[in-house]
Amino acid sequence: MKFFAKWISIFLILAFIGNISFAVQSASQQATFTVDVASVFELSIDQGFIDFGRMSPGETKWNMPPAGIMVQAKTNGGKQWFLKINNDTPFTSGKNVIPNSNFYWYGWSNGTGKWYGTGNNALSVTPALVYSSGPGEENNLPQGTISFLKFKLKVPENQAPGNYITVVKFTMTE
Amino acid sequence: MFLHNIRKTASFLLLTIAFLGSFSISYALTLEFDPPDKSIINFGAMNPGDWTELQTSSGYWHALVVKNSVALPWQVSVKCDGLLRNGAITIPSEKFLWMSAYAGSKNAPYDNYSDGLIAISYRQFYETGQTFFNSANSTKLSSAGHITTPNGAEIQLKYLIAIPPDQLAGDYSSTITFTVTQ
Repeated sequence: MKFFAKWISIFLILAFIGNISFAVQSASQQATFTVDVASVFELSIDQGFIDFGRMSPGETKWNMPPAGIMVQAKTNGGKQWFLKINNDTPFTSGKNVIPNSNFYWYGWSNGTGKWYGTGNNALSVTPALVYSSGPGEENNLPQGTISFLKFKLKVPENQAPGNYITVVKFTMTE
Repeated sequence: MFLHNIRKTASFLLLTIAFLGSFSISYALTLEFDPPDKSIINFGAMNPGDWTELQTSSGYWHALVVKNSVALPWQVSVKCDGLLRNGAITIPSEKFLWMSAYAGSKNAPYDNYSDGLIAISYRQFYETGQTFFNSANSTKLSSAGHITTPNGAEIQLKYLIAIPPDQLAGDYSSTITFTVTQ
């Protein structure tokens, strides 16, 4: 019995020593990293005034302005977008009007989408498609997509004299 | 005699078991954020192409506080669970960075432990842990037996992000894990 008690004691002491051997200690903390990248949906134009100058009844001017205008569309919204053109009223001077059927837009785009210009598109008070974005242009930052346009105006032969003004609008939508 | 021996053996066994049961080693190695409410690293709203550092007037965003009461070296590491992500859209990992520019004691006389930092420069996160502090490299900490109780040792951290100029809009997030190991 003494013999067994001695060996049991040795075993227990060894087990005790085993229990105080060190395990690797560690502690952790987690942090959440967040950022909100802002939505960009911008349309800009490089010039806001196009002067056809003095024209005679029956005269046609095209290639206006000579350098064209640049309409830049930028977005990172991830969706297809569309560029439209219209004017709220045709060329007007008092009660006199040059119909929109005499006023045309044409041009091209550096994008991958669809250009709706046929070379013979008349302005209208209803917005009409100029361009719809193509693959990859749902996020076209930082350069954006540029549409290049010029205008043609034919003054009717019986047009009354005067200073005629119209405001052309470009609209970018998703 | 036989019974006497059994009683002795049983008593010894009981005492040993009771001793084992009552003996527990008190082991303190903890890691906390200071201040606690700065565990969110939020850059807020940013525009494509922008970059910014996230820090307060103190020069850092928050600190890790390590409290250790055992005379053994300890190390701090960091890892990220992946890229800054918004669904399938990500911000490249080289665009959000972290840096620790200072480490020191929160106990008087507030010794400088910055020699324990592995590097002092902006670095990117990785999914595998990066050790950036080793108490064994700090002269003051080593001479203090790596013990930092009661107030702990702090490691100050700040962050930087550069949004790519063509980044898609949205809320991006990632989880960072800091670990102290001994």
